Amino acid sequence: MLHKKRRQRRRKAWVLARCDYWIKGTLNGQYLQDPEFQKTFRISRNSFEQLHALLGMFRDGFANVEPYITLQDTHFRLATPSRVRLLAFLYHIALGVPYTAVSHQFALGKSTVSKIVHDVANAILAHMWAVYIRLPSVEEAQQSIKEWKKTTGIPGIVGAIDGTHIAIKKPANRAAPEVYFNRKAFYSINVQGKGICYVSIANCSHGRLQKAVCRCGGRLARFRWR
Amino acid sequence: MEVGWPGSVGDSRVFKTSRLHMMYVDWLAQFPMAKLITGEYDNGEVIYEDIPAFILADSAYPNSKHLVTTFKVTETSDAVINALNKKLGGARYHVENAFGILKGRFRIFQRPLECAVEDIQFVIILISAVFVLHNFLIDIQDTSSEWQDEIIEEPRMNDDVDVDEVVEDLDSTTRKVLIKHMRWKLEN
Repeated sequence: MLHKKRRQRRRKAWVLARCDYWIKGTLNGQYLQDPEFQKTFRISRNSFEQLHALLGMFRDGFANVEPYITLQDTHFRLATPSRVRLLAFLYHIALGVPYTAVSHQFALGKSTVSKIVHDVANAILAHMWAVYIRLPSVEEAQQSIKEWKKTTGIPGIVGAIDGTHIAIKKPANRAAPEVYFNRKAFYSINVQGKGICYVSIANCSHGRLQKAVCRCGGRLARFRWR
Repeated sequence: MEVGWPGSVGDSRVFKTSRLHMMYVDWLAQFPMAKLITGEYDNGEVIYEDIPAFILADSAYPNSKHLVTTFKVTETSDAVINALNKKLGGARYHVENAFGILKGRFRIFQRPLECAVEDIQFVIILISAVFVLHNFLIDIQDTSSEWQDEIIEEPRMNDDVDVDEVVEDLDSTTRKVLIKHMRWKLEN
């Protein structure tokens, strides 16, 4: 009797066998050179390395380096490399694919992918929020006043403010999911940003200012991320 | 940037509670006044009026000295106001476009976010993280034309909006100067 019970409890597999051929080739540069890499991850290999340098720091002496995305290898198994974790996050947000698809592509478990997406998003906020979401400096603002004057002929415009709605699925475990239902008839979260015309040669493609920067000083309303 | 208000909350209320709202007046006051032609004397001498630094917004926001809004469609019967609306709308197009670029670049926003079903707080973290990443990529000038054709043009929603919250005019001096300038320009 006891023997039978024990047998039922035994795990079928510690880690499921998965094909990691693609991700290994992508990491060492065998597949996906720059135009294709950019098409897939919406970021060039060069900027990917810069992003990784910001997030992938590993501080020795801390067993659990929570805010950064590098994990520590243990005696049981090697940790998922930080580049793979970052790529999996980018793959998820750039293509909008579900966790299952990411899990097959990157040879990771589905719950591991979920943990990776949470970790990387938290790391980005912890290390990059204050630097990249801020009010423009005085010089930048004066530059943008000049740029706006050139296009509209009216002096004094520093920027423009606008909001957008990010569509979400109906939240299930909230008391009143209807507060997320907006006037355009879908469930959404409101995002508000201030755009500043940003001057640089690379940003002016097709002869017009294509990239306004969504940035301004601010904080998260209602829910804080920490 | 403000993330996290539910979709049923109007733009003006989000703005009223944002940190930008507390600081933008002081921040914009440090910039010098600019001069704008508003008219002409009979002897041909042009009149200049001072105009402060300001931010453009659409008609869902309160109009004030440093926050100039476009006019609602119902208000516009005047040719001058129409011309001004067109001009300001053209300038505001860039910031609307910025959201479109972001949604085209990161295609996770092109369909409803699924993780909202279980964990709405994480959705806010995820959205903010993607916005940070977007600014990071602009700062290091990562421009690729590969996905340019996937940019979504957001539908211009504010033209037929029925604003449920009453937006009061706080101070329309800046906008009046702009109207005067526009009138002078149309006459000449």
